Amino acid sequence: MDMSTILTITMFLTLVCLLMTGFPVAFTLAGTGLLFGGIGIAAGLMDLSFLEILPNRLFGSVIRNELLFAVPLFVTMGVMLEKSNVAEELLESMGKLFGPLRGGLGISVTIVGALLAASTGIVGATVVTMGLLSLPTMMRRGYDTSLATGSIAAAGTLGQIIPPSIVLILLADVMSNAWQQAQLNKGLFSPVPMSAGELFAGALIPGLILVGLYILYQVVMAILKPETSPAIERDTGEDATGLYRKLLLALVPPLFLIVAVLGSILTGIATPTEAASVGAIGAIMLGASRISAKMVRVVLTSLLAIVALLLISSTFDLRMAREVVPSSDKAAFGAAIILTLLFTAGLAASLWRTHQSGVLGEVMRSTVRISTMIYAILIGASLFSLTFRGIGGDEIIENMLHNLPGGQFTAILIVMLLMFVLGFFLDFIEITFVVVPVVAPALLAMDGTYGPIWLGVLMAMNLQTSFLTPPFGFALFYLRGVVPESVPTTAMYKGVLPFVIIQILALIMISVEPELVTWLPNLLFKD
Amino acid sequence: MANSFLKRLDSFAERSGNVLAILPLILVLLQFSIVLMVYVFSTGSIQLQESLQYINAMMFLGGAGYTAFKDEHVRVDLFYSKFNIRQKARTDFFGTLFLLVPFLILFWHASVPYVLDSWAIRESSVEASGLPFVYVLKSTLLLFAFTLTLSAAADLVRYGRIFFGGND
Repeated sequence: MDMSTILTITMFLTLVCLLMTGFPVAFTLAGTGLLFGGIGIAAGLMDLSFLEILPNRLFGSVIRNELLFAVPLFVTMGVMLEKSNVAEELLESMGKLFGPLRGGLGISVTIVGALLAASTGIVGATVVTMGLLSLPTMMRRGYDTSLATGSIAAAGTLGQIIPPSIVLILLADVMSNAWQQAQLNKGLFSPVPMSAGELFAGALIPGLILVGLYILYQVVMAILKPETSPAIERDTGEDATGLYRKLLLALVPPLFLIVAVLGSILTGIATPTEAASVGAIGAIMLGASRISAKMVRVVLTSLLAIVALLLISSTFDLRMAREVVPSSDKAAFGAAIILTLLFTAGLAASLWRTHQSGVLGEVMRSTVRISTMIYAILIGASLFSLTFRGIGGDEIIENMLHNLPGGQFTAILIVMLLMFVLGFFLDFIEITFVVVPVVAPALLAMDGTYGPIWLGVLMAMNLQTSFLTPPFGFALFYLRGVVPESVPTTAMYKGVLPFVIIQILALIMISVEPELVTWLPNLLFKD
Repeated sequence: MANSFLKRLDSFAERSGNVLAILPLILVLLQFSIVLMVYVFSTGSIQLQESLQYINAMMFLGGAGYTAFKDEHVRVDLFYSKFNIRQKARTDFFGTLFLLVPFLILFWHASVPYVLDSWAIRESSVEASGLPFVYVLKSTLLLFAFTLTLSAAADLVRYGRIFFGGND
């Protein structure tokens, strides 16, 4: 083995060991990168200027990266929805509606998990919220503890694969760079890009398949083993129509918001960043109407104003800087200004209301911390990968993957297994920034791959499976923290296993039938 | 002495968080206004679009110290969460000393000349009608170094005292 190979391997092992100490990931990445950069310089493999380009690298691909603006915007949206108790209400009213059916509570948990996909995309947060909300009810009503904990852990991870999710945005950024690099390496000098919208489109059908399979499993359990998922008696005094009303009120606004955001990205009308800002504004107004009933009317009026604005702008030409502006367009422009002012007033009222209750400040401070945390990892990972390239690690990995017996199939399988194991220790974000840039260009350059979208979705679903798998899965780890001591850990493991099997089934499905991933993006984004 | 030093750094971090919290709100409002301008009024402004970069950069680079103070830089807590206070202090003290501090030295060493070069030529946007303050945008890199340096100093004192402080 030559020096580069030894250094590459030691570098990864050192990183894993240092991460295990629990020191923040971002700084561990940076420190390890620097340490091995020093060794590389001493060994004559690279020189210091390789590390000194870090600021330039950060400026070009982090600070000026417009796709990444979507991160703070989506975080704002997710945290706002979380802090204004949208999830609670949703779960409560769905539980009441489906509860009287056998298996109904479990199904509600799955659906809410899928809808919360818009949330911050950090597994821990979703699993903890869902665990606190639904587990006590499920246990009190005599649900089998294994089934209950398994459902919650599985539903909590759905948020990663179902768009719009933050981790998919980050993955899209990294994957798109890898794709361009793979094409350049092949000698294509005008590489085709891959957008975040395409990755969203690719992840949608596999995500919905997972939701469907989860629900199917709940139904099968309710039929075959009725004692595991009992029906819940409807409380007397609550009539069905009142419930439907409550459910509609809890379900429709967030669903509308998510569909509007996702729809505008998938149809290519808006970029993820633009759609995310609409989502954040929507979440603020939704939050305001949840805090005070009086705000509902204000928010509805603002919504009408926006709809009217869109109608006007699609009928009239509102550009006033033209040579000749017909008077009808002038009148329409005036109306549009009034509507904009009306909307602005509604938004200002919502901001004031959320500010007064303290929610707005809390959401924004939390947004600063979560976004900074993500960006800091990106900064640490930038230094790590500079060194990694400097000591020739990328070529070593590429050669290794290319020379495997069995070609592309083995290469992908090995990378997937490696990521699966890394998923026990590292979160989605770290793996995206550290592992994907190293392996993806090589994998994408191999003949017969189904392209970056397919590879991205496969990786995302693989990681999501890893987070569920006992004994190390992240989701289980977080759930353990909120599950009462009386529930044995083995019961949780037993409960989650069927979901792991479902995940593996779905992974096999998209591997054998890549069309499940590529069909929708092709339909939506290719002319 | 060490106590008041630590207190001052901590209260700086806390207050910086309150100030920074206004930035994501501005980001949301500005991006949404741009959406309205583009999709309703069919106008756009490169300057407004570029100003998003400035706000975002100030937020995530200036927020590094505040996030560290709130201990929200994500950790692999497989073992860390089971550590006692002293073991945690050991991780954080030596981690800061041997991983974070060297990185910060490199960061200062590389970014100060980078930023100064940009100031020297009063670097402007590559877009003809863009904002002419690229040197300011690049200077935000120093915010990251500055807030993290303060946080690292505070952590070395804080965790050093716990780790070396014996049994109290």
